[in-house]
Amino acid sequence: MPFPTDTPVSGADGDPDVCEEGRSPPGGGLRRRLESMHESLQAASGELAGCRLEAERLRQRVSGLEQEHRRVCEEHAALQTQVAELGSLYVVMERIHGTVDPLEVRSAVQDIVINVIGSEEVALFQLSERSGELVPTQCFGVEARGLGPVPLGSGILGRAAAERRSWMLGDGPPPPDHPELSACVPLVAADRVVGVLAIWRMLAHRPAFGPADRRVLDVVAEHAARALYLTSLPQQPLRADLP
Amino acid sequence: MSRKKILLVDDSNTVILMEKMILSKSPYDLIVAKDGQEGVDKASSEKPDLILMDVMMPRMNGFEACKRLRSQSDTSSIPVILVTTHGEEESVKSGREAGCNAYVTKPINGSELLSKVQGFLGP
Repeated sequence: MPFPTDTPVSGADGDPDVCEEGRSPPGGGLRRRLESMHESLQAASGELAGCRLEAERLRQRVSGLEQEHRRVCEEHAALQTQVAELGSLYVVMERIHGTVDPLEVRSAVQDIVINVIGSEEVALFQLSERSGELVPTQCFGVEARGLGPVPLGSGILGRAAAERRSWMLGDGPPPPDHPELSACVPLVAADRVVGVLAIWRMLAHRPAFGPADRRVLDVVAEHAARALYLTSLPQQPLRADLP
Repeated sequence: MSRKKILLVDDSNTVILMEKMILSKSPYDLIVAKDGQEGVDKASSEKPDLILMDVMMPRMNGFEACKRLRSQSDTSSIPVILVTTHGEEESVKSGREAGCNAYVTKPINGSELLSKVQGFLGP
């Protein structure tokens, strides 16, 4: 069908931006392309903004996960420390209360100090009812002869017993009578002092006395005192109270 | 798969108790010897997959026991971890010369011990 005569001919496909010869009018096509590019750029810009938001959201999420990871790691480390401490306490209980022989109790206390606390210079003093002095009854790595007997209230060891107060490295300046002492703990059972446990230098590779060591040493002292006191009591026939 | 066997050699009941407590969480069978001589004897008879041995022991110390193990054909390839109170260079050197494969220091750190044992035996 022929074109109506009053229809303006703008191009073969009727595109108004295309001239009769099929060429774009100067600037028309370029404008369209620029507009199209502008629209694309706007769309891309919108997407980019969305991506930036998403990236920021992911960054925050990663940061949150890293914090969570650090927290879990710290909790895990703390739990491991607790488990190790509980394990040490279990060993302490088992060794100290695993016997009714006072000699074995003393030996167990020494063994615990060497292998659980980490010192090869240890002495266990027991209070002599007769002389009222602290007498070294178990020593390792230190000369018993040079240690006692120690009158109650005399020096750091005697004061620990008389005042029922522990001294541990970090509590103050080194005691003049035992400058290399790491700790001394009174042994108290049934409300009476039964002795003192003293520890000098810790093993060289071992870190300084920490809070966990204090806790373990307090438990060692408490249970050693109880075991030494109980094993010093006169033996009763087993279940003599029963008919 | 058969369970791995570990021989614990130490004259200290405290250390044996600690080692048992740490290692009993993993699927290992644990056997005990109280000195170096008994350790060498049990290594021959029990053929453990790993030996955890103290250094200072009565009758035969850990270095000597380790040398004996290396000199016997039936025990020469069993890995030995020495348990020592001294982490110093000299002690480690003596242990290596005696033929030990690794060492841990006292007081025993549970994670360190388990990790070294697993390094030889797997989890």
